[in-house]
Amino acid sequence: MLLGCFSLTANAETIGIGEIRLNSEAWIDLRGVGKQTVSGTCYTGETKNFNKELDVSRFGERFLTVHWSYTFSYNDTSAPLFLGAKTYTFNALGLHGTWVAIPSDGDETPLYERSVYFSSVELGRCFMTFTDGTTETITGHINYDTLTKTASFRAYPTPSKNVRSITFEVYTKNPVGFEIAPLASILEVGAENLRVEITSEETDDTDGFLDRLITKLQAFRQNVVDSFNALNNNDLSIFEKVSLIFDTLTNIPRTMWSYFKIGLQGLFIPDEAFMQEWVENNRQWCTETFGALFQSFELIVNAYRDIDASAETHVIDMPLVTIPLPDNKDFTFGGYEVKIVPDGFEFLSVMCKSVVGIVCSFAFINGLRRRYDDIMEETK
Amino acid sequence: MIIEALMSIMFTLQDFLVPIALPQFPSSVLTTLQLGMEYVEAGAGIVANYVPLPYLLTLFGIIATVEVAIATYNIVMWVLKKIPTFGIS
Repeated sequence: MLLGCFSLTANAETIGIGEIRLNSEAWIDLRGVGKQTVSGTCYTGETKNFNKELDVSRFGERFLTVHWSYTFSYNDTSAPLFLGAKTYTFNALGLHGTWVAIPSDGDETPLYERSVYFSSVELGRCFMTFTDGTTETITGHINYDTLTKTASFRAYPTPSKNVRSITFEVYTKNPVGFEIAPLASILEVGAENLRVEITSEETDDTDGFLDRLITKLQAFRQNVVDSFNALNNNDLSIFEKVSLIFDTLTNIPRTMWSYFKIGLQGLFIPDEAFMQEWVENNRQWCTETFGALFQSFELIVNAYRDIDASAETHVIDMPLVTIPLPDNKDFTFGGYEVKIVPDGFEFLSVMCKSVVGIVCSFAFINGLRRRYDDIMEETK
Repeated sequence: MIIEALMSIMFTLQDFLVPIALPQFPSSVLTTLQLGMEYVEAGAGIVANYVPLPYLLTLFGIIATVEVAIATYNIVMWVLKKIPTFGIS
């Protein structure tokens, strides 16, 4: 069963390793291409519960082993019966990471292991805070009200010099798109090769499209059978029987139309997975074609989007700050969220915006008037 | 399916018609820029809670449009004044 595709981008070149099938792995050789920024997206096309695993990036003589896992749990009972429709709502997200440091002399005994609780987890970013050389275990979970399928996160790990391997693991119970941006930072050290592996542990609590379709058809058939059985019930009055016949007869075209509508929509409305891939391909094409111009534009647009979002939610994201320390130790302050406007005082933000808006409107009108006067003076 | 096919054709066409590849930022520069933008976002995010940024951007767009229109008008008039046939002084 095809789970999805995976592609890696190295500078302007795209190093594709094609499709990764269930319980398979693929290797990409990065030797001879220098330092690379590697990023990619893995996505699925089917509604299946599974676990994914991305494993092992090797660079130079050192390995840094990181076990990084996250788990989605969700209720999929409201998902529509469309092939490829992916309007999932996750009701909880848990993140838990473990760093394992292995010495570079070939001894596989870990120097230390630690679990890292991702203290600031959000869409698009994930920071971890740790100090080097000490054993530390922090665990926990983070709950979200809603998370969409496109939820993804990146981490900015700080590889230490006394560790020599990294393992990146992702576990999810959903066909969720995710990025492997952490590898971008890690592979800049000088990757030799990268193995991408996806394994699956299917569960039976979520059916595929055909299973759902069959279930729906069986339920519809059962309804019809029940309706005709009910007609033999002598307790029903003649009016109730006629009403039952009408209900059954009108349900048949309605049901058939709903299935026909699904097919018709498939003809004209692009599939969500296709749209996602098309947009991503276009973004990639713009990056490769317009280079730094598009990258700058994208940076500004993303920044504006984030600023606008923070104005809506009254929450700003304090960015990651890393302080390099002696002996190859870094101290990293993880990014965290700060609520600018306290709960119950949102009206202050609205009032400020209104007052500033009114003042700016007057200034705008006055500026236009003065500009008009200037032009009239020049034309005299 | 039909729209998807058209969109795929569009993508192939644009790839064929625009055969340029401008240089990209080196990854280290891009990473630094992204980090810098995060600081900008944090700072501007505070301001955006008290200032209607979309509204101000709209006003700024109008001002820019007016100024560009005036500049265009002046350039056109400057060219026309150079042509004696029109008799514009």
